Amino acid sequence: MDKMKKNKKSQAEIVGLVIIVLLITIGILFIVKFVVLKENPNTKIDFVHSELASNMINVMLKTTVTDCKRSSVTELFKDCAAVQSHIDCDDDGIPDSCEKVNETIKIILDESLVKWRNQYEFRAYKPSYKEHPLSSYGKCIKRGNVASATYPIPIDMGTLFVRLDICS
Amino acid sequence: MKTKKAQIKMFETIAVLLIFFVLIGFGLIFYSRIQSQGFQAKLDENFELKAIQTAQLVSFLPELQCSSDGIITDDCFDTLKVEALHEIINNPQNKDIKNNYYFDVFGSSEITIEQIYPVVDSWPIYKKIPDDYKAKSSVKIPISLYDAKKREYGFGILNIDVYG
Repeated sequence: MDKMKKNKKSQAEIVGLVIIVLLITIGILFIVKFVVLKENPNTKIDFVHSELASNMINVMLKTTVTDCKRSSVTELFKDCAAVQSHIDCDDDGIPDSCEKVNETIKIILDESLVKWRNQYEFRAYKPSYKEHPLSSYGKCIKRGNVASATYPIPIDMGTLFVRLDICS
Repeated sequence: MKTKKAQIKMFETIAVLLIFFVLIGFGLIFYSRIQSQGFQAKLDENFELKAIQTAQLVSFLPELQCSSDGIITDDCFDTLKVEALHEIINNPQNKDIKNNYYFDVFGSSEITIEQIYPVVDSWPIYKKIPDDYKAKSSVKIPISLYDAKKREYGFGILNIDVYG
């Protein structure tokens, strides 16, 4: 009778020990999940990248190309995407809107995103010729957190899409 | 014999209580450390938000924005207005305007407008850097720079450094 009582007591102690261990384990898991593994909100980075992508394209398309009859980048893109280009910047009888627009975009990207060491991908393409973009600069090696902006430009035959991805 | 057993039981209880309080102590230290880290992260986030707030404020400043017949163009600064504001704020005679009005608006920060296309140019608008700043946050926003004399849009960058 006494032996049975002792056995029951040790069983109860073991159960108590197991409950304590379980509670401590759950507590540690809870702390790890909600405190240690908590991701810091990158408010500024998110804002800056999304603002950068949309402002960059918006401002770029509005920019006047000074040495090409004061045409804007949008006008040059429209002409470049047309079946027959007609804007001739240096009056040599050969239309050069594609050349000029790419030259201008390269200057702007080199002086901004490249200088700030931001990973980016800039493309200007017709949906049916996505593999052969009119303009293509940069390459995102890691596509983790991407902020994108796409602007459609109506052209003679369809739409030209100008897209900028900023990767981090 | 019975007294010895009771003494052992008492020591056992004291040891359990001691371990229990030591564990609670460790828990409290760990919790307070994590809490202080969280507090610091919150402070850092608020500081970063202040930089964004200043950037937004400058972007929509009527002293700089492009407008035509009262219609405002987004993400655009008029270079004539930029030059005028640069001269007003940096004129030693207008020290009061800079130290009172614009300090209330921009706080401890440095604001510069840079043109990168067609020509490289720069206009330092406002500069108030505290001697003992502990943190700095920078924001760069692309903006159009409209030259009303030539009726041309250039490509510019609004640089904002906020100090805390």
